[in-house]
Amino acid sequence: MITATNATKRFEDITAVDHICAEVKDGSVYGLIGSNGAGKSTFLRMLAGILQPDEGTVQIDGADIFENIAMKERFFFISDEQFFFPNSTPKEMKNYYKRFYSKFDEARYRKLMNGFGLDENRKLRTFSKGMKKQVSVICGVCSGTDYLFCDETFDGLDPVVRQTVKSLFAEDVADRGLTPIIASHNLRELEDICDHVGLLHRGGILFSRDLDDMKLGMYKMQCIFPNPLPDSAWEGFDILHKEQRGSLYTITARGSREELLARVNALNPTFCEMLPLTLEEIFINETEVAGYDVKKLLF
Amino acid sequence: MMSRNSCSKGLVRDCMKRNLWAIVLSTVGFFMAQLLPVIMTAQHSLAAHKQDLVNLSAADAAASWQGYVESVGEMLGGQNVFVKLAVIILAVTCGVSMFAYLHNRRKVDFYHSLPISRSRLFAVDYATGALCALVPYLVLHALSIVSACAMGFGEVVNASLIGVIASNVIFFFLLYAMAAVTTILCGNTVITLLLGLWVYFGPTLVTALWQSLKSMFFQTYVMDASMASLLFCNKFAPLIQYFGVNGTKMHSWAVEPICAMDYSAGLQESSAIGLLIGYAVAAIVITALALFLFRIRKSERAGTALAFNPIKLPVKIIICVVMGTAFAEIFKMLVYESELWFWVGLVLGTVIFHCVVEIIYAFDFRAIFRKPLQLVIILAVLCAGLLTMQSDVFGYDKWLPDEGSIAAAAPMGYVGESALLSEPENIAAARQLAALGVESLNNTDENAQKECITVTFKLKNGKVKSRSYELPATDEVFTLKKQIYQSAEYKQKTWSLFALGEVNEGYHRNIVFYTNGDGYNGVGTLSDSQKAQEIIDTLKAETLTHTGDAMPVLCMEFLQQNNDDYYSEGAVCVTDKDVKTLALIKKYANIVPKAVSAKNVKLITLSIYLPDKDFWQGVQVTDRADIDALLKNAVNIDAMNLYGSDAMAYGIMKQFARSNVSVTYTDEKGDEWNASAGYTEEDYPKDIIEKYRAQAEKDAENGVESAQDGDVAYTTEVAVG
Repeated sequence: MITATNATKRFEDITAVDHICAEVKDGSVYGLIGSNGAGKSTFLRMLAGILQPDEGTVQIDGADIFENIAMKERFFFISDEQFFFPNSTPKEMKNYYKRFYSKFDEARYRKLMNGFGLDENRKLRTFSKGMKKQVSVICGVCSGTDYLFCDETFDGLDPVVRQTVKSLFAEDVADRGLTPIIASHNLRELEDICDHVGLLHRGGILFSRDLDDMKLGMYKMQCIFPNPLPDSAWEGFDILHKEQRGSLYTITARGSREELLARVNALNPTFCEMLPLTLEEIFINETEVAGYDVKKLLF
Repeated sequence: MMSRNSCSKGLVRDCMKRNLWAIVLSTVGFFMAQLLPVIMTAQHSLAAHKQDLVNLSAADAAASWQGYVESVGEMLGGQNVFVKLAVIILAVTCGVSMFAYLHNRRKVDFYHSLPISRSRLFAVDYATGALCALVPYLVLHALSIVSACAMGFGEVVNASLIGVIASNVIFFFLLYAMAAVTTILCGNTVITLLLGLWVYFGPTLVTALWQSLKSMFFQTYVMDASMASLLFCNKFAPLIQYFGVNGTKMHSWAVEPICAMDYSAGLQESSAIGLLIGYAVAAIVITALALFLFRIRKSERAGTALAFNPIKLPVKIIICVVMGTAFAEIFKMLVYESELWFWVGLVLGTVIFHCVVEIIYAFDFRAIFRKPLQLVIILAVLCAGLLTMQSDVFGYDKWLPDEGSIAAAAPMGYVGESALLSEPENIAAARQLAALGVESLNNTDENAQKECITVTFKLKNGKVKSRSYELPATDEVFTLKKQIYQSAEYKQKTWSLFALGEVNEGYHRNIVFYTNGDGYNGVGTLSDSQKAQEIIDTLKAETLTHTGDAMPVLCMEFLQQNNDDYYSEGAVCVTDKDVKTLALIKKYANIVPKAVSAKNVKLITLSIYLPDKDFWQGVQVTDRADIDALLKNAVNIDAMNLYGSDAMAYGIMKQFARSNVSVTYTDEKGDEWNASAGYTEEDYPKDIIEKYRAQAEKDAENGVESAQDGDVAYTTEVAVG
């Protein structure tokens, strides 16, 4: 299990990660989401042992990661800006990784390279951005590590490859208990793969929950009322977002489905529908509560 | 647990494959610098020797062959400059390139996320760079040796080549480690190269500026050696000193500063083993420092100017202080030694470089005026330091050693241990001269007759210190100086007569004789080495028996000659008191002293200093009686080579009561030439010169054209009485 306790990282006078506390259970798929500059990459680089926390700890099974070779052998880091040796081929990179990861599965590597239609003897500099990402993912999943740290890994992948990669992750999670930690701001990409989400905002973690719990505790309701309702009618609701267009009200609020439905019905709506929230909507609502108003940025 | 596959050996091999360019660069570099020059020199030598066998006698051809062998040996040995340049270029290139990935975030993320410790990563990178450069060097050096042997120059291969290789390897590691540390300290490769320039050449620049400041602010400061010599012997600038090292030997100018006077010392070689051991230790220490810095370096510093915040201020201070001082000195030099512009340059240089450093640190031009308080403090401290020097707060000029703390002394700049005098009388006299010099520091009388003297002390704690004084031309000073110069110890330690060594193989020693009467023309040469040695030995014995004034009657110049190749070993006078030597010279060379004759003298010019008017007035003496009187017992200063201490050793004065005598001769063809005349104290024609002083004053009042102050300024440099 990965544990971050008050992990803090400062760059000069900027606090990129501010006293983050989080737990990543083994065998889960952890989505690290957050606004631009929230500290996702910094947190991931701390997890990967690249950066040493200025305060707090980042540990795997109770052992610090920084400069801990035994712990570093248990994860593979796929950076958002991958590095390959100049003029190298996927084969050369694979051979290099093999020196460090004793469980590297070469047969699977060949199978995946063929499956993705990648030539392992072609120079990586001639590969497209997406193809390079694929090589990194293949090396990552074949390294046989317990954890896979992916920073914006789905960026640049076409939809088919994206789904294939997700399947690969799901397969490894199921087969050998791999724990991918995926940092992304593309929430739609994470929605169908993550079972746990950590939301970072301005260096701090807003929440870290199971996706299902999160979705169950927050709903969007579309209601039509015959007459306009006074604001006081909504007292008692834990409203995250409210929008009115004529007689149509769109409300996002916290609470259980039954409780919210009962309260709305008490207001005698002509029509009421409970809609599931997308991860993007959850992200926008949560960050809005924390003072990060997307609309203000856009308009 | 470390993977068994990730053993350092395999990683180094991988790393070397990825840095094939370094191996190729090294191979090409050492091929061009080592193997090719050896083959070219050997081939040329063989062709030339073939011609020699046809054109020269067997003996001469054999002698020439030795020269060819030496040429090949130079290319194969430690005098090959091309190899040194290649070593320097490769050490810097490999040192920077192996660690330059630290300046790139992508690469840092890649390497630092891998399960490998930083220590091992450092070891792999360090070993890769060293192997990429050194393996080709060693292979090509071996090939060069094989080539030299195959071409018939096997005799150049000896054990000293091991020393040459060892010295090149040590210098490589030292410069390589310095490049590695510089790269690790920085977060940007361009800044690394700039900092590298400071690391490699900064100590030399600081030495030059420091010497310059001392000579500017201290009245008694004397440069221990020529500036070039001081710069080359700076132990903190190994890149420069490397060029003075020849395997396990080194030129003496690279060991310690030498005075320009002691030029011959520059041609000697001494052991460099101590220096090489020192540099090897330094290489190890700097490598350990590089490892330490590599381990604690924060990955996020990639892309910044300096990777360690704590060194930002010290680096800025050093740059501001050095460049501020450099600007000050340049400004002063540009504006005719103006002190005002010195301070303007100081402020300007400090401000400019403070701004430049802040811009570089922030990579933002808008940071130009950041941290003004630091600038003010640096400037204030720098000005305070320089003002402290200027007002000599620490008493540099007034320093005088306790007599008991002096081990040796010399009335000259430091030219090495051998010239220092250790007899108590000489030490006391030298110290007394220094004491008089300190006393006269505040003497602002510009009309007072003064002369410069440098005094060197070697203290019992091993330190050597020299000071230069402007002494009043008093009897006390004259007596003290004469006491030293006429002492047997001084003669033994400084005269070329006593420094004459064995005659080199293939050479013989000549003595060329000059007399007062024949001027610059040698009157004869004795080419028999044995007879020459007998004369030398006799003069050595005789000259030490008399320590008072004596009249030089002959000058002997010693030469070592081998066919057309010859070099001078110095000159020495024979006086009328050296009776046995004169007899031997007459016996072996049939040469007898010849006095200055009035026969061909057209006129004599007396240069007389007029203190009231502060200039020298020339007066011509054409009266035959006066000419005869002036030339009676005169010594031809130039022919006898009697200047400074040499003149004083015989009690010869060229200048007395601020006057000197220039004799104009006319030869048989009617050509005129001048010579300076000198006298022993008792023979000085004071009456005649004083007789003409009145005329000089009269001429000066009437505006009669004569030599002005500046025209005869050189006379102040010669011996005075």
